[in-house]
Amino acid sequence: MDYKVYEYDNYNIHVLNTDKFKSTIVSLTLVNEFKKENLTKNALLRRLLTSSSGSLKNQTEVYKKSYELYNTDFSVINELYNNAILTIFDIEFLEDKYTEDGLQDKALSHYFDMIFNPNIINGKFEESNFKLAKKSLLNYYEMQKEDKYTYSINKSHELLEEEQLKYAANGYIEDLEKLNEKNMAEYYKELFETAHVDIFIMGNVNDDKIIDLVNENVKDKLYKNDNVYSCNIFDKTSDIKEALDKEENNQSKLVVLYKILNMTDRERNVVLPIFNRIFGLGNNSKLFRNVREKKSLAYDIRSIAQREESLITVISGISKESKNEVIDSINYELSKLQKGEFNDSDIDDAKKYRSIILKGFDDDNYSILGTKVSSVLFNNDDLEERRKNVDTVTKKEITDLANKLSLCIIYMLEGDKDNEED
Amino acid sequence: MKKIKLEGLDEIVYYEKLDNGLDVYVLKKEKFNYFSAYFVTNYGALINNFVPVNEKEKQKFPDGIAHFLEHKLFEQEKGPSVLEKFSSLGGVCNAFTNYLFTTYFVEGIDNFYENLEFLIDYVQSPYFTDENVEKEKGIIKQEELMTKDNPYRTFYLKSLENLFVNLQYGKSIVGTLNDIDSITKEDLYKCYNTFYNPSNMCLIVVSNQDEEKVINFVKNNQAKKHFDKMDKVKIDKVEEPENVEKEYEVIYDNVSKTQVSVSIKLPFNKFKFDKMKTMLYLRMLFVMNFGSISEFNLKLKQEEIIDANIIVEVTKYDDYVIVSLDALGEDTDKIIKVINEKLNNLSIIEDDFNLIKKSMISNFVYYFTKVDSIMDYLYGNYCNCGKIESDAFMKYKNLSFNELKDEFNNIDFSNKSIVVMKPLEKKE
Repeated sequence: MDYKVYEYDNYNIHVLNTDKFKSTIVSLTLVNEFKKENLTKNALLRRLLTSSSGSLKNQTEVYKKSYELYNTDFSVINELYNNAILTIFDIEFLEDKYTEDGLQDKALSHYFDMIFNPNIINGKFEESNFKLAKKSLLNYYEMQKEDKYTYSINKSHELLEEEQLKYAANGYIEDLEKLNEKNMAEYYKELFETAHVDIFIMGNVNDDKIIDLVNENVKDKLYKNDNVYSCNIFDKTSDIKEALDKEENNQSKLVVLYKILNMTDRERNVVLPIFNRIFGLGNNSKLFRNVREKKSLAYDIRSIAQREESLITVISGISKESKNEVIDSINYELSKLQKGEFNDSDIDDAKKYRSIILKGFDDDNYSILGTKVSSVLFNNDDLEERRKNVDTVTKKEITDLANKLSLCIIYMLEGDKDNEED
Repeated sequence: MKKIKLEGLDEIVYYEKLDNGLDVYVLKKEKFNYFSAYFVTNYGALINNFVPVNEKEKQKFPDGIAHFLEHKLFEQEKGPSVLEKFSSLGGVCNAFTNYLFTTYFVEGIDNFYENLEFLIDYVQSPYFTDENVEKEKGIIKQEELMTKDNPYRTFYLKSLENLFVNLQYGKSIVGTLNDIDSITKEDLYKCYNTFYNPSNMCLIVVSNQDEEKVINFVKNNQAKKHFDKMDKVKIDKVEEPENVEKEYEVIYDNVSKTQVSVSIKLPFNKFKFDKMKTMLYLRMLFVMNFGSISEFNLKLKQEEIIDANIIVEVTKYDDYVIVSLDALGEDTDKIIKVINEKLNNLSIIEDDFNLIKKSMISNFVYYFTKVDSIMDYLYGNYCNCGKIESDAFMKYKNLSFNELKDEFNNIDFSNKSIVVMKPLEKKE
């Protein structure tokens, strides 16, 4: 794969040229500073920008356009990375040779129309689409409790003290009421004016041609901002907080949250994925094999590593009576890793798994692109570096990292139904 | 060895039926690192009343036994566990059970042949003891409890239950807690011996390896093992009448918003096309009239009758095709009324037909850009048609507006079942 960067005053264009996939992805990425009040605005803006534009007046027209362009998919995504909020405008379209001549040009014209020609009239988002977008977000907030796992993880993170770690990426219902057609039109402008911008293109493309097309569409619309991203560092332990909610469910969801203290860059990039695989990622992990398989205490148990935030979240589906036993078992499995009581075969398995995941990235265009974005924006290792480093992880490094985990939160969404036959 | 050329797609699937009856399908994807192998038995949660192999009398087994068996095949008599072994080979494995099939799979990058061999070997070497069967019950009960906590699953199963009079779609795949408790080692062996004979199974492989070599490898593996020749398992054909079991029901569950599912039951024999083509035309017709590109859908949202796009699904269940329209909104009487009115007045628009056809065709191109989606396609085709078809893509390409207009213009869509799911707090 050929990678080139084209630098301009207000943005850079990164081109990853490959003929392996039959489609092209263009990804315009904004990095803005984390502000809690912008989470809800972003969630609403995503809906506004994907449901209509200045030329496509409603969502039906947008869907029809996508079908007309052979399922060209335009999406807007927000992601939180510690002190940064990413807004990613993605489009994926098939190559001309699999569809029709000129599809690339038409798809890009649609893409920039959706991003830079919003359905704003006289300084306000058009009323009927605004109403539908707001309703859609309201539905999301009202229904989010139905996903018990995500809800439980969000509730556990709310107990953290750090402002940028405690809030759910999709915002809050109480902030939605304040948003209207006018202040959202102002926010749309502000989002671009305050963002650091990179544009990524991946596919079998003619660099000169596509860059000309992109430049033509973005040159007067982007601004120079040097938003500096930094990962979160915890430098001290904190008291363990516990919380419990009850709900009419059969199964309870237990979240055990650990801070990772003073994690180094090498630990973040190289050691953490290996440690997490051994601890709780996948069905050969210590948690799965011992807490689920040997002790039959949970149907589901896994750990999630958030490297930019320095957090490890263990989530499990259990019966309420097993709560203390499961917590003890999780801590016991961690203590064994802290004492170095694990085998070389555990490390080999984790390294193999990691190598496979990284090799597998080559087969998935979004994974290749995601790694490039992560390396450009957050200075994380690129794919080659990641692959090279897998085998260098030592047992001592894994043990040292395990000893940096500090239990900080226990949250339980307790199912208070009796587990009897209906 | 037979070559199944996937017409219009520039892809070839190699196929061979081995001496022991195992169907093997192999597709080579040269530039990709990943491999994926699915080992499938034609046995799922719906099949629990049959004459076990080497027996004469029909026996009824507890619900959930196919799924229980899926869990227990991960048990090995000696050596490392299945999970450990795959992990050491760098393979990612899992399994799943649905109403008609149980599927074991491994995916990975390295050690292709070792992973493939172990997939076949572990599925073909059951080891059940009273002790390991008892131990599994706790895990499966947790899974059932988790499933019961999913209101959308309950809603979906209730819709199926109310559509079918004799067919058992809608029952829990995992079984009730009592069913799970009643399963024994002996039951498991009987079901295993009946349905895990290679003549009732198929293997689908997508990898960057030479197709003939893969098939020969499987052939050699199977040649080392003895399997009794088996007749087709005697399973009674369930006669399903055209009417629905229940036309309307309201259920209450742990949800935040009210929703409604309108499901139309249509026998395939009412249509002149084969099952796949019938489903494609029905999908087009309903997407055109109710889906995200329809003016009807937009109007209902603007008038605040529905809160989100209507979801259209067209699914095959034996000799019936079910078209489901799922909508979110508080005034379900109104939603049902407007859907009924629309069902009596469907439009067939050529521009929309062309757009939907473009979208369907491009989905095929996207399928063949990744190993996992290729496998999804091949597996789906096998489950729907009992084999991998060569002309599936051409069926899409040859869809014609006139056929749609001529054959689907005056269909009676009144044979339906409606389920409404409301939040628990609305229960009086």
